[in-house]
Amino acid sequence: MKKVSIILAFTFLVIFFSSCLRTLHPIFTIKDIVYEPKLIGTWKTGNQGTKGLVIITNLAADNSIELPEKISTIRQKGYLISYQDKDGNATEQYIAFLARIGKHLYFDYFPAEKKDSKTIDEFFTSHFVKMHTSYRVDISKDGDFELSQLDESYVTKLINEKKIRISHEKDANGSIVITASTDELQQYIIKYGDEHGAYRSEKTVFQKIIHDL
Amino acid sequence: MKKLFIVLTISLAVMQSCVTSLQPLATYNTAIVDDRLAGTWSSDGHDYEVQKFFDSDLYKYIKKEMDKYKGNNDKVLSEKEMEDFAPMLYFKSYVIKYTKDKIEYVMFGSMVKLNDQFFINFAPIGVNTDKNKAQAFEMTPTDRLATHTIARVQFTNSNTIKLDFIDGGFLYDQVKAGRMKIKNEKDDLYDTFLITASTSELQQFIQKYANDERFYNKENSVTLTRKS
Repeated sequence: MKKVSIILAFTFLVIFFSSCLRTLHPIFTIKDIVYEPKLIGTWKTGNQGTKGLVIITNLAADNSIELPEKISTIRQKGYLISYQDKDGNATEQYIAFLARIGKHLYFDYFPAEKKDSKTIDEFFTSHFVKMHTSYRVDISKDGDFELSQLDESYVTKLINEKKIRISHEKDANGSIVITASTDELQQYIIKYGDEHGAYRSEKTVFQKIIHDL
Repeated sequence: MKKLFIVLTISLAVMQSCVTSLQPLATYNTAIVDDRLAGTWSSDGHDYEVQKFFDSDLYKYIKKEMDKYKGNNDKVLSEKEMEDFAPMLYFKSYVIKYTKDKIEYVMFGSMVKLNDQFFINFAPIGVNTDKNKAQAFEMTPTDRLATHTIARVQFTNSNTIKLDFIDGGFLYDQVKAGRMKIKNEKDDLYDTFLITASTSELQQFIQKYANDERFYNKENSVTLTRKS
Protein backbone atom coordinates (compact mmCIF):
# COMPACT_ATOMS: atom_id res chain seq x y z
CA MET A 1 0.00 0.00 0.00
CA LYS A 2 1.25 3.39 -0.83
CA LYS A 3 0.01 6.56 0.68
CA VAL A 4 -0.70 8.96 -2.09
CA SER A 5 -2.51 12.22 -2.03
CA ILE A 6 -4.97 11.95 -4.86
CA ILE A 7 -5.78 15.61 -4.96
CA LEU A 8 -3.33 15.88 -7.81
CA ALA A 9 -5.19 13.26 -9.79
CA PHE A 10 -8.50 14.93 -9.03
CA THR A 11 -7.04 18.12 -10.44
CA PHE A 12 -6.82 16.43 -13.79
CA LEU A 13 -10.40 15.23 -13.57
CA VAL A 14 -11.63 18.73 -12.86
CA ILE A 15 -9.59 20.11 -15.74
CA PHE A 16 -11.24 17.84 -18.25
CA PHE A 17 -14.76 17.88 -16.84
CA SER A 18 -17.55 19.25 -18.97
CA SER A 19 -21.28 19.31 -18.23
CA CYS A 20 -22.69 19.66 -21.75
CA LEU A 21 -23.39 16.38 -23.50
CA ARG A 22 -20.68 15.75 -26.08
CA THR A 23 -21.08 12.93 -28.56
CA LEU A 24 -18.68 11.50 -31.09
CA HIS A 25 -21.44 10.95 -33.63
CA PRO A 26 -24.06 13.45 -34.83
CA ILE A 27 -27.65 13.17 -33.63
CA PHE A 28 -29.04 13.35 -37.17
CA THR A 29 -28.94 11.59 -40.51
CA ILE A 30 -29.42 13.47 -43.77
CA LYS A 31 -33.08 12.42 -43.94
CA ASP A 32 -33.79 14.06 -40.55
CA ILE A 33 -32.64 17.52 -41.61
CA VAL A 34 -35.14 20.35 -41.48
CA TYR A 35 -34.15 23.68 -42.96
CA GLU A 36 -35.83 26.67 -41.35
CA PRO A 37 -35.02 29.94 -43.22
CA LYS A 38 -36.43 32.03 -40.34
CA LEU A 39 -33.34 31.18 -38.28
CA ILE A 40 -31.08 33.16 -40.62
CA GLY A 41 -30.26 36.56 -39.16
CA THR A 42 -28.54 38.36 -36.30
CA TRP A 43 -29.72 37.50 -32.84
CA LYS A 44 -29.20 38.74 -29.35
CA THR A 45 -29.36 36.19 -26.60
CA GLY A 46 -30.90 36.45 -23.16
CA ASN A 47 -27.75 35.60 -21.28
CA GLN A 48 -25.54 37.96 -23.27
CA GLY A 49 -27.83 41.01 -23.44
CA THR A 50 -26.80 43.34 -26.24
CA LYS A 51 -23.08 42.88 -25.58
CA GLY A 52 -22.74 39.66 -27.55
CA LEU A 53 -24.50 38.73 -30.75
CA VAL A 54 -25.09 35.49 -32.58
CA ILE A 55 -25.07 35.53 -36.36
CA ILE A 56 -26.71 32.64 -38.20
CA THR A 57 -26.06 32.30 -41.91
CA ASN A 58 -26.64 29.57 -44.44
CA LEU A 59 -23.63 27.26 -44.40
CA ALA A 60 -23.28 27.52 -48.19
CA ALA A 61 -22.94 31.31 -47.94
CA ASP A 62 -19.47 31.13 -46.37
CA ASN A 63 -16.76 29.42 -48.40
CA SER A 64 -14.06 30.05 -45.82
CA ILE A 65 -15.17 27.21 -43.54
CA GLU A 66 -13.46 23.82 -43.73
CA LEU A 67 -16.17 21.22 -44.38
CA PRO A 68 -15.96 17.43 -44.35
CA GLU A 69 -16.64 16.09 -47.85
CA LYS A 70 -20.14 14.74 -47.18
CA ILE A 71 -21.16 17.82 -45.19
CA SER A 72 -20.11 19.92 -48.15
CA THR A 73 -22.70 18.16 -50.32
CA ILE A 74 -25.53 19.16 -47.93
CA ARG A 75 -24.23 22.58 -46.91
CA GLN A 76 -27.26 24.37 -48.31
CA LYS A 77 -29.36 22.70 -45.63
CA GLY A 78 -27.00 23.75 -42.85
CA TYR A 79 -26.14 26.83 -40.85
CA LEU A 80 -22.98 28.57 -39.74
CA ILE A 81 -23.56 29.89 -36.23
CA SER A 82 -21.09 32.55 -35.08
CA TYR A 83 -21.00 33.79 -31.51
CA GLN A 84 -19.52 37.27 -31.22
CA ASP A 85 -18.13 39.20 -28.28
CA LYS A 86 -18.96 42.83 -27.55
CA ASP A 87 -16.24 43.96 -29.97
CA GLY A 88 -17.73 41.96 -32.83
CA ASN A 89 -15.03 39.27 -32.84
CA ALA A 90 -16.17 35.72 -33.52
CA THR A 91 -15.43 33.77 -30.36
CA GLU A 92 -17.01 30.47 -31.35
CA GLN A 93 -18.27 29.16 -34.68
CA TYR A 94 -20.27 26.03 -35.33
CA ILE A 95 -21.50 24.05 -38.30
CA ALA A 96 -25.11 23.35 -37.34
CA PHE A 97 -27.95 21.28 -38.71
CA LEU A 98 -31.53 21.42 -37.55
CA ALA A 99 -33.20 18.02 -37.33
CA ARG A 100 -36.58 16.73 -36.27
CA ILE A 101 -36.16 13.87 -33.81
CA GLY A 102 -39.37 12.58 -32.31
CA LYS A 103 -41.61 15.48 -31.33
CA HIS A 104 -38.95 18.17 -31.18
CA LEU A 105 -36.46 20.05 -33.29
CA TYR A 106 -32.78 19.78 -32.35
CA PHE A 107 -29.64 21.59 -33.37
CA ASP A 108 -26.49 19.52 -33.83
CA TYR A 109 -23.44 21.77 -33.31
CA PHE A 110 -19.98 20.83 -34.61
CA PRO A 111 -16.95 23.14 -34.19
CA ALA A 112 -16.23 25.11 -37.38
CA GLU A 113 -12.81 26.21 -38.55
CA LYS A 114 -11.64 28.49 -41.28
CA LYS A 115 -9.65 26.84 -44.09
CA ASP A 116 -6.77 29.29 -43.93
CA SER A 117 -6.56 29.63 -40.18
CA LYS A 118 -3.48 27.90 -38.80
CA THR A 119 -2.60 29.96 -35.78
CA ILE A 120 -1.94 27.09 -33.41
CA ASP A 121 0.61 24.30 -33.75
CA GLU A 122 -0.72 21.48 -35.90
CA PHE A 123 0.92 18.77 -33.82
CA PHE A 124 -0.81 19.99 -30.68
CA THR A 125 -4.20 20.36 -32.35
CA SER A 126 -3.97 16.89 -33.88
CA HIS A 127 -4.63 15.56 -30.36
CA PHE A 128 -8.17 16.90 -30.32
CA VAL A 129 -11.19 15.23 -31.85
CA LYS A 130 -14.12 17.53 -32.51
CA MET A 131 -17.33 16.50 -30.76
CA HIS A 132 -21.00 17.20 -31.36
CA THR A 133 -23.13 19.10 -28.86
CA SER A 134 -26.91 19.19 -29.16
CA TYR A 135 -29.73 21.51 -28.25
CA ARG A 136 -33.48 21.23 -28.31
CA VAL A 137 -34.87 24.13 -30.33
CA ASP A 138 -38.23 25.63 -29.37
CA ILE A 139 -39.36 28.23 -31.89
CA SER A 140 -42.08 30.58 -30.65
CA LYS A 141 -44.82 32.11 -32.78
CA ASP A 142 -43.11 35.50 -32.89
CA GLY A 143 -40.02 33.87 -34.43
CA ASP A 144 -37.77 33.97 -31.38
CA PHE A 145 -36.38 30.65 -30.27
CA GLU A 146 -34.95 28.98 -27.21
CA LEU A 147 -32.06 26.51 -26.97
CA SER A 148 -31.88 23.88 -24.24
CA GLN A 149 -28.62 21.98 -24.17
CA LEU A 150 -28.57 18.24 -23.46
CA ASP A 151 -26.89 17.59 -20.12
CA GLU A 152 -24.00 15.16 -19.85
CA SER A 153 -24.43 14.58 -16.11
CA TYR A 154 -27.97 13.27 -16.69
CA VAL A 155 -26.73 10.58 -19.10
CA THR A 156 -23.77 9.79 -16.88
CA LYS A 157 -26.07 9.29 -13.89
CA LEU A 158 -28.30 6.94 -15.92
CA ILE A 159 -25.24 4.97 -17.04
CA ASN A 160 -23.76 4.76 -13.55
CA GLU A 161 -27.10 3.62 -12.12
CA LYS A 162 -27.37 1.06 -14.95
CA LYS A 163 -30.71 2.55 -16.02
CA ILE A 164 -29.69 2.96 -19.64
CA ARG A 165 -27.67 1.08 -22.23
CA ILE A 166 -25.96 3.55 -24.48
CA SER A 167 -22.55 3.02 -26.11
CA HIS A 168 -19.80 4.83 -24.25
CA GLU A 169 -16.16 4.60 -23.26
CA LYS A 170 -14.23 5.95 -20.33
CA ASP A 171 -11.35 8.15 -21.38
CA ALA A 172 -7.90 8.21 -19.77
CA ASN A 173 -9.14 10.61 -17.11
CA GLY A 174 -12.10 8.45 -16.17
CA SER A 175 -14.69 10.65 -17.89
CA ILE A 176 -17.48 9.04 -19.88
CA VAL A 177 -17.31 9.63 -23.64
CA ILE A 178 -20.55 8.92 -25.49
CA THR A 179 -19.72 6.85 -28.57
CA ALA A 180 -23.32 5.91 -29.36
CA SER A 181 -24.33 5.75 -33.01
CA THR A 182 -26.74 8.30 -34.45
CA ASP A 183 -29.53 5.72 -34.18
CA GLU A 184 -28.78 5.12 -30.47
CA LEU A 185 -28.61 8.86 -29.82
CA GLN A 186 -31.98 9.37 -31.47
CA GLN A 187 -33.49 6.62 -29.32
CA TYR A 188 -32.12 8.39 -26.25
CA ILE A 189 -33.53 11.74 -27.39
CA ILE A 190 -36.94 10.27 -28.18
CA LYS A 191 -37.08 8.57 -24.78
CA TYR A 192 -35.79 11.46 -22.67
CA GLY A 193 -36.62 14.45 -24.90
CA ASP A 194 -39.45 15.56 -22.62
CA GLU A 195 -37.55 15.01 -19.38
CA HIS A 196 -36.73 18.36 -17.83
CA GLY A 197 -33.64 16.92 -16.16
CA ALA A 198 -32.15 15.76 -19.48
CA TYR A 199 -31.29 19.38 -20.26
CA ARG A 200 -29.00 21.86 -18.57
CA SER A 201 -30.94 24.28 -16.40
CA GLU A 202 -29.85 27.43 -18.21
CA LYS A 203 -31.69 28.05 -21.48
CA THR A 204 -30.65 30.54 -24.13
CA VAL A 205 -33.35 32.74 -25.67
CA PHE A 206 -32.59 34.12 -29.14
CA GLN A 207 -34.28 37.36 -30.16
CA LYS A 208 -33.86 38.52 -33.74
CA ILE A 209 -32.46 42.01 -34.28
CA ILE A 210 -31.51 41.88 -37.98
CA HIS A 211 -33.31 39.78 -40.57
CA ASP A 212 -31.90 37.92 -43.59
CA LEU A 213 -28.15 38.14 -44.10
CA MET B 1 -11.56 28.97 -23.06
CA LYS B 2 -12.74 31.26 -25.79
CA LYS B 3 -9.19 32.36 -26.48
CA LEU B 4 -8.21 28.76 -27.06
CA PHE B 5 -11.11 28.33 -29.46
CA ILE B 6 -9.84 31.18 -31.58
CA VAL B 7 -6.45 29.60 -31.98
CA LEU B 8 -7.56 25.96 -32.12
CA THR B 9 -7.62 25.49 -35.84
CA ILE B 10 -7.06 22.17 -37.48
CA SER B 11 -7.49 20.83 -40.94
CA LEU B 12 -8.86 17.39 -41.58
CA ALA B 13 -5.66 16.44 -43.37
CA VAL B 14 -3.69 17.15 -40.24
CA MET B 15 -6.17 15.23 -38.11
CA GLN B 16 -5.73 12.18 -40.29
CA SER B 17 -1.94 12.33 -40.44
CA CYS B 18 -1.62 11.05 -36.86
CA VAL B 19 -3.57 8.24 -35.27
CA THR B 20 -5.71 9.47 -32.42
CA SER B 21 -6.50 7.07 -29.62
CA LEU B 22 -8.96 7.56 -26.79
CA GLN B 23 -6.78 5.50 -24.47
CA PRO B 24 -3.08 5.96 -23.80
CA LEU B 25 -0.54 3.35 -24.90
CA ALA B 26 1.02 3.30 -21.43
CA THR B 27 -0.33 2.70 -17.95
CA TYR B 28 1.22 3.56 -14.60
CA ASN B 29 2.67 0.04 -14.32
CA THR B 30 3.95 -0.22 -17.90
CA ALA B 31 5.31 3.32 -18.33
CA ILE B 32 9.06 3.55 -18.10
CA VAL B 33 11.19 6.43 -16.97
CA ASP B 34 14.32 6.82 -19.10
CA ASP B 35 16.83 9.52 -18.23
CA ARG B 36 17.82 9.81 -21.87
CA LEU B 37 14.58 11.69 -22.58
CA ALA B 38 15.08 14.56 -20.16
CA GLY B 39 16.73 17.72 -21.40
CA THR B 40 16.30 20.41 -24.01
CA TRP B 41 15.94 19.20 -27.57
CA SER B 42 15.85 20.99 -30.88
CA SER B 43 14.09 20.24 -34.17
CA ASP B 44 13.31 22.51 -37.14
CA GLY B 45 14.40 25.59 -35.23
CA HIS B 46 12.17 24.94 -32.23
CA ASP B 47 13.25 23.94 -28.75
CA TYR B 48 11.48 21.23 -26.75
CA GLU B 49 12.00 21.13 -23.00
CA VAL B 50 11.46 17.63 -21.58
CA GLN B 51 11.25 17.20 -17.81
CA LYS B 52 10.27 14.34 -15.54
CA PHE B 53 6.83 15.12 -14.14
CA PHE B 54 8.06 15.64 -10.58
CA ASP B 55 10.85 17.97 -11.82
CA SER B 56 8.52 20.03 -13.99
CA ASP B 57 7.08 23.51 -13.56
CA LEU B 58 3.66 21.94 -14.05
CA TYR B 59 4.13 19.77 -10.95
CA LYS B 60 5.32 22.76 -8.92
CA TYR B 61 2.22 24.66 -10.03
CA ILE B 62 -0.14 21.78 -9.21
CA LYS B 63 1.60 21.14 -5.88
CA LYS B 64 1.08 24.77 -4.93
CA GLU B 65 -2.61 24.39 -5.73
CA MET B 66 -2.71 21.07 -3.84
CA ASP B 67 -1.26 22.63 -0.70
CA LYS B 68 -4.34 24.82 -0.41
CA TYR B 69 -6.41 21.70 0.23
CA LYS B 70 -3.83 19.67 2.13
CA GLY B 71 -5.33 16.96 4.28
CA ASN B 72 -8.83 17.24 2.88
CA ASN B 73 -8.72 14.47 0.32
CA ASP B 74 -5.80 12.24 1.26
CA LYS B 75 -6.49 8.59 0.55
CA VAL B 76 -4.50 5.41 0.56
CA LEU B 77 -4.40 3.76 -2.87
CA SER B 78 -3.57 0.11 -3.46
CA GLU B 79 -1.35 -0.94 -6.39
CA LYS B 80 -4.48 -2.11 -8.24
CA GLU B 81 -6.23 1.22 -7.66
CA MET B 82 -3.15 3.07 -8.85
CA GLU B 83 -3.09 1.03 -12.07
CA ASP B 84 -6.81 1.61 -12.66
CA PHE B 85 -6.66 5.31 -11.87
CA ALA B 86 -5.56 6.65 -15.23
CA PRO B 87 -4.13 10.03 -14.15
CA MET B 88 -1.51 8.15 -12.10
CA LEU B 89 0.22 7.48 -15.41
CA TYR B 90 1.30 11.09 -15.49
CA PHE B 91 3.44 10.58 -12.39
CA LYS B 92 5.69 8.38 -14.53
CA SER B 93 5.52 10.65 -17.54
CA TYR B 94 7.46 13.56 -18.93
CA VAL B 95 6.21 17.10 -19.34
CA ILE B 96 7.08 18.50 -22.76
CA LYS B 97 7.05 22.24 -23.27
CA TYR B 98 7.66 24.12 -26.51
CA THR B 99 6.86 27.52 -27.96
CA LYS B 100 5.68 28.37 -31.47
CA ASP B 101 4.49 31.81 -32.60
CA LYS B 102 4.56 33.10 -29.02
CA ILE B 103 2.21 30.35 -27.81
CA GLU B 104 3.58 27.88 -25.29
CA TYR B 105 2.35 24.30 -25.57
CA VAL B 106 2.49 21.76 -22.75
CA MET B 107 2.05 18.04 -23.25
CA PHE B 108 2.61 14.76 -21.47
CA GLY B 109 4.92 12.13 -22.96
CA SER B 110 4.68 8.59 -21.55
CA MET B 111 7.15 5.97 -22.77
CA VAL B 112 6.62 2.24 -22.95
CA LYS B 113 8.79 -0.64 -24.21
CA LEU B 114 7.12 -3.22 -26.46
CA ASN B 115 9.10 -6.06 -28.06
CA ASP B 116 12.39 -4.28 -27.34
CA GLN B 117 11.20 -1.14 -29.08
CA PHE B 118 10.36 2.12 -27.38
CA PHE B 119 7.12 3.97 -28.04
CA ILE B 120 5.94 7.27 -26.68
CA ASN B 121 2.40 8.36 -26.05
CA PHE B 122 1.68 12.08 -26.35
CA ALA B 123 -1.27 13.77 -24.64
CA PRO B 124 -2.08 17.49 -24.60
CA ILE B 125 -2.20 19.39 -21.32
CA GLY B 126 -2.80 22.97 -22.39
CA VAL B 127 -1.52 26.12 -24.00
CA ASN B 128 -0.26 29.31 -22.48
CA THR B 129 -0.93 32.38 -24.60
CA ASP B 130 0.35 34.78 -21.95
CA LYS B 131 4.07 34.35 -21.40
CA ASN B 132 3.91 36.81 -18.52
CA LYS B 133 1.92 34.31 -16.51
CA ALA B 134 3.90 31.24 -15.53
CA GLN B 135 1.05 28.75 -15.76
CA ALA B 136 -1.84 30.52 -17.48
CA PHE B 137 -3.08 27.27 -18.94
CA GLU B 138 -6.08 27.11 -21.16
CA MET B 139 -7.31 23.55 -21.22
CA THR B 140 -9.37 21.38 -23.50
CA PRO B 141 -12.34 23.24 -25.01
CA THR B 142 -15.61 21.55 -24.12
CA ASP B 143 -16.46 20.74 -27.74
CA ARG B 144 -13.30 18.77 -28.32
CA LEU B 145 -12.02 15.50 -26.90
CA ALA B 146 -8.39 15.27 -25.84
CA THR B 147 -6.81 12.13 -27.31
CA HIS B 148 -3.41 10.46 -27.60
CA THR B 149 -0.94 10.06 -30.45
CA ILE B 150 1.78 7.43 -30.62
CA ALA B 151 5.30 7.44 -32.03
CA ARG B 152 8.15 4.93 -32.16
CA VAL B 153 11.22 6.23 -30.34
CA GLN B 154 14.72 5.48 -31.57
CA PHE B 155 17.71 6.66 -29.54
CA THR B 156 20.12 7.04 -32.44
CA ASN B 157 22.84 8.16 -30.03
CA SER B 158 22.97 10.05 -26.73
CA ASN B 159 22.30 13.33 -28.54
CA THR B 160 19.68 12.30 -31.10
CA ILE B 161 16.17 10.87 -30.85
CA LYS B 162 14.06 9.93 -33.86
CA LEU B 163 10.28 9.85 -33.53
CA ASP B 164 8.22 7.98 -36.14
CA PHE B 165 4.51 8.67 -35.78
CA ILE B 166 1.97 6.02 -36.71
CA ASP B 167 0.42 6.90 -40.06
CA GLY B 168 -3.25 7.73 -39.47
CA GLY B 169 -4.14 7.62 -43.16
CA PHE B 170 -2.55 4.19 -43.67
CA LEU B 171 -4.20 2.79 -40.55
CA TYR B 172 -7.60 4.19 -41.53
CA ASP B 173 -7.37 2.65 -45.00
CA GLN B 174 -6.28 -0.73 -43.61
CA VAL B 175 -9.05 -0.78 -40.98
CA LYS B 176 -11.65 0.31 -43.53
CA ALA B 177 -10.53 -2.45 -45.91
CA GLY B 178 -10.64 -5.01 -43.09
CA ARG B 179 -6.91 -5.76 -43.31
CA MET B 180 -6.24 -4.51 -39.77
CA LYS B 181 -8.55 -4.99 -36.84
CA ILE B 182 -8.69 -2.62 -33.91
CA LYS B 183 -11.66 -1.23 -32.00
CA ASN B 184 -12.60 2.16 -33.40
CA GLU B 185 -15.38 4.66 -33.98
CA LYS B 186 -15.87 6.06 -37.46
CA ASP B 187 -18.38 8.63 -38.58
CA ASP B 188 -18.65 8.91 -42.34
CA LEU B 189 -20.70 12.11 -42.38
CA TYR B 190 -18.09 14.14 -40.49
CA ASP B 191 -15.00 12.03 -41.34
CA THR B 192 -14.33 11.31 -37.68
CA PHE B 193 -12.03 8.40 -36.84
CA LEU B 194 -10.97 7.48 -33.32
CA ILE B 195 -9.28 4.37 -31.98
CA THR B 196 -11.23 3.23 -28.90
CA ALA B 197 -9.28 0.07 -28.10
CA SER B 198 -8.13 -0.44 -24.52
CA THR B 199 -4.50 0.19 -23.59
CA SER B 200 -3.86 -3.55 -23.55
CA GLU B 201 -5.42 -4.03 -27.02
CA LEU B 202 -3.49 -1.05 -28.28
CA GLN B 203 -0.21 -2.50 -27.03
CA GLN B 204 -0.94 -5.84 -28.72
CA PHE B 205 -1.82 -4.07 -31.95
CA ILE B 206 1.36 -1.98 -31.92
CA GLN B 207 3.49 -5.03 -31.21
CA LYS B 208 1.93 -6.83 -34.18
CA TYR B 209 2.74 -4.10 -36.68
CA ALA B 210 5.78 -2.45 -35.07
CA ASN B 211 8.19 -3.81 -37.67
CA ASP B 212 6.06 -2.88 -40.68
CA GLU B 213 7.59 0.36 -41.97
CA ARG B 214 4.34 1.23 -43.78
CA PHE B 215 2.89 1.65 -40.30
CA TYR B 216 4.83 4.90 -39.82
CA ASN B 217 4.29 8.21 -41.55
CA LYS B 218 7.71 9.15 -42.92
CA GLU B 219 6.59 12.72 -43.58
CA ASN B 220 5.81 13.10 -39.89
CA SER B 221 9.12 11.70 -38.62
CA VAL B 222 10.89 14.08 -36.27
CA THR B 223 14.59 14.07 -35.37
CA LEU B 224 15.38 15.77 -32.09
CA THR B 225 18.92 16.94 -31.34
CA ARG B 226 20.01 17.49 -27.76
CA LYS B 227 20.83 21.06 -26.78
CA SER B 228 21.38 20.47 -23.09
